[in-house]
Amino acid sequence: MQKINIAGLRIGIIHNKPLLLDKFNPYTCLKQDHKEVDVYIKVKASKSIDIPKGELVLNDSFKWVKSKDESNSSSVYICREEPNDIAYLLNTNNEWNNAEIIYQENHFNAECAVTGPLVEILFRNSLIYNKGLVLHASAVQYEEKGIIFSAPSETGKTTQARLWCNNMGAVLINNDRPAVRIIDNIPYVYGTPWSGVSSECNNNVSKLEAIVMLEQSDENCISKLTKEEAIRKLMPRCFLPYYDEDIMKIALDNLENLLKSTQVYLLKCRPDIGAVQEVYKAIWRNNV
Amino acid sequence: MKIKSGFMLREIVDTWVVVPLGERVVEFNGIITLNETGAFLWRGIENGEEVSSIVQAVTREYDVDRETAMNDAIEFISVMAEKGLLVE
Repeated sequence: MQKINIAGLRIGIIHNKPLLLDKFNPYTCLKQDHKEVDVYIKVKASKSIDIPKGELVLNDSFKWVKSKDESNSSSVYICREEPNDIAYLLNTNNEWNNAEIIYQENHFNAECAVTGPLVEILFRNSLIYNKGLVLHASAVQYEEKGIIFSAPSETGKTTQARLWCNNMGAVLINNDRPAVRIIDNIPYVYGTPWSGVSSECNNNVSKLEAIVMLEQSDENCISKLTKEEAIRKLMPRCFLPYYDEDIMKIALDNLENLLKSTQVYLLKCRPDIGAVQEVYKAIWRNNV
Repeated sequence: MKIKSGFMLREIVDTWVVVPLGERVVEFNGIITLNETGAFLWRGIENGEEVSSIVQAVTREYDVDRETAMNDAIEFISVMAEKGLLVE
């Protein structure tokens, strides 16, 4: 079994031979790490994959089927060109911690099955059961404090994160999909292997100090958001399980705990060092 | 009058949020937050109560007269209808 550790979740990958998983290299568990695995994934090949039975709750590029029996298990699959021609299928239990991935052996391989989007979906849902969420955001660490920059696409998350790295010497945690977890009421932000570019997926972790929602503006100005404003701005930036009411309730518990433990700011900003100074003043000088 | 299926009312740090589920996510863009009275009205409609009895309950629960409560309820219902959250 190959073991990786993402956001503190130990994921065991079981296949009939070791897989070359470059994408997960920074997350490989040390040999002396004998702690119990949190999420099991069995990977196997099949000549053809049957459509899973149950209720189709999402019919998009990914298809999500929920079983109608007591197991509450789920299947997520990706088709080739024809809707019945399944390329990859993930079957998972209700808690998303015991899964199998089946890939169509004539056209695909186990490495792609594991490093592709199905494991990311499994991780996101499994994380929800472990007091966490994945956000659409950029995250950096500076002087042992984690800062998350979040906003709709093209607003300037990457720009603000880079300004911090280039001008302040901050360390990039993740530039697209960092994870957060609240452990003993303390929020942490973690790198994940999922971002646009592999160099922007660092296996770092930091205590989370603040979430900064961004808005483009002619002037740099930071303010604290009320909880209601924070919900309105942050909730659409969270990867939430809208297709499963039960997991959604847990995810919203996690979001609530995140908001209770973390200050959320609104940074109206330009793409310049003045924006960095505003955040620095607010977080390190408590001057908002 | 009913609330369309596929919406969940949820309190998050003292704010009531209407959360779309399943296919409603695609057709419903944005987040609706409700104040305490809004959430009270939502629950009343969700339970299939008549508007007049919800208004009566509002006047019992909150320090508000019947006319104001009725006007608030009518406004709330019209906003909900406008957002496509209600069905006959």
